Amino acid sequence: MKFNTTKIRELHANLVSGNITTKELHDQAHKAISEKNTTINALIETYSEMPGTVGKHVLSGIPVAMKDNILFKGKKVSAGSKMLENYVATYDSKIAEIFNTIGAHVVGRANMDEFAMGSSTETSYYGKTLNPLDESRVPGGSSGGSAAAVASGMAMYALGSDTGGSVRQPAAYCGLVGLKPSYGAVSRRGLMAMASSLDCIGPITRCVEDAEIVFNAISEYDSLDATSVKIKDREKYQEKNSNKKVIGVPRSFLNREGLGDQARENFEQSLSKMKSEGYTIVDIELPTIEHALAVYYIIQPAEASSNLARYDGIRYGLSVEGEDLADSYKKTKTEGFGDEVRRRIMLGAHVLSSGHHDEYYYKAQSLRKIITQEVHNAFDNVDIIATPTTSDVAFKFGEKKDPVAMYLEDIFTVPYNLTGNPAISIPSGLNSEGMPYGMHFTAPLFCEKKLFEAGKDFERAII
Amino acid sequence: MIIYTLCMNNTDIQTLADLSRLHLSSTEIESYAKDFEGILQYINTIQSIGINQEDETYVGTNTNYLREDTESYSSGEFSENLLQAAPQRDGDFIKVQKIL
Repeated sequence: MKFNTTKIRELHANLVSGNITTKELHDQAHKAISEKNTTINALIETYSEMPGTVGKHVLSGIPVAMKDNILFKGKKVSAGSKMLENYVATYDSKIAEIFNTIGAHVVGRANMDEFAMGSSTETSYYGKTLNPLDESRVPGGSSGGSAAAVASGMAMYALGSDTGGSVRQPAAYCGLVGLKPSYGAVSRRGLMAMASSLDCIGPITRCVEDAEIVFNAISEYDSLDATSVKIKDREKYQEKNSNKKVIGVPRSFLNREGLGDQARENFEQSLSKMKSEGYTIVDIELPTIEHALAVYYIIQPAEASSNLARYDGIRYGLSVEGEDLADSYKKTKTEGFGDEVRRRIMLGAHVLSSGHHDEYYYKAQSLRKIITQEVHNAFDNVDIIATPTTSDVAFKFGEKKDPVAMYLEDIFTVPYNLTGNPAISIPSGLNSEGMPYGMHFTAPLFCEKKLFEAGKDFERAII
Repeated sequence: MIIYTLCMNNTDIQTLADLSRLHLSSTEIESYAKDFEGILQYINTIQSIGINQEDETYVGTNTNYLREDTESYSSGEFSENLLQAAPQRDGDFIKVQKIL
């Protein structure tokens, strides 16, 4: 049973009935790895451990690729950085605990932009990952290795982390489904922190149903993550969960943000297909959302510069000895961090510095509140907010040299990391060169169920 | 009227590098100065938006769920694992260079 022609539930049913074995799935994943990974470079390390017999959980025995920033005790984990090249996790993430309990089968750790900073997986210390659909193009990022592993059949699904679009954008670029859950729905214990008020763990899968299955498995409350939201508190938000099939489109935002002609056409066609599924399409105004990316590029570097201060060469990770302690810190950080990570640490230091924090950090926090309010208010009248996932299809290597051009990749995905809302990217057809577009749906907080319903309707509509 | 920083000179970048504990070559400094010009120009677009006083004082509303302040693990349970990750150790201590 090929990964690309089946669904997780079907694979598991066949494992249970004995039509296939967990070893056969393991072999299939490793065959794809040995054929393609030297070129695609989706996985930094592969695991040869054989899976056990299949268990009851629907994810038991199903091959999965894990982004290189989620900790499994005793396994190397490096966040795509030289800083942590030889770091071995000293504890299990919540994800690892869940996966060990259900008998998930991890095939390897997936390449990523260094410390999840990037939109193309070009900044990894372990080399760039290629897009399996067209090797001259980027797979997106920062979870580019996760997406490329699924797209090339090395795993049935993958986990990534999404701080500004890092699950949804690579999913869109590789023709897959990518889900960023609500902030607080999936525990980040044991996820290496980049920007803590924005980071979410989410699945990359072949279809919406699979994304729902993985989300249901990983969205347990975790008392050891102070931002994990209790199930009973999530329920308070779920009164908005019934789907009245109204889609809101922030037209004026789309008109301003440099959508390619073919991308726009694809988006309009997607909307009309949703109409044929019984959805009503209305225009909505989100007046401040056009500033979301600028706000993000203040808050995210600020938080990243604080979080990455811990890599000092004393307790773990790379350590380069200098003339004195201060010099050792400098030598360690200079040698351990790549270009983009340094740029964002310095940007964070700038926006937090005493002369500038009012004009940048505090102003950005205020705008974040306004944007959040606007998005939450919009859900009084609509069930789903729809935009394209990206302005265009996957770009070619080397095409975006300027940092701001790269940052603009996240223009449509970033707003919902700021607001905390769940969002999903679903393949919406191909351009004239055969590269996929993504349709992006956002739902009210903790109303992932609504994303899955609308998402499945969308998949049906575009066949 | 406030004049916002739209460009940074090499000294500014050097200061940020020092704050971030990074050694940068003069070529790297030049290159980051150029990048920062574009980035600051982009993020400075938020300065054009007026916000009311109530929003100005906003600091965030996330709720943290904290556990009871009790012993959650036994002493020494994780020590050896953590010490093994240290670049330099001396018995049960992590070794560092002289501080004073």
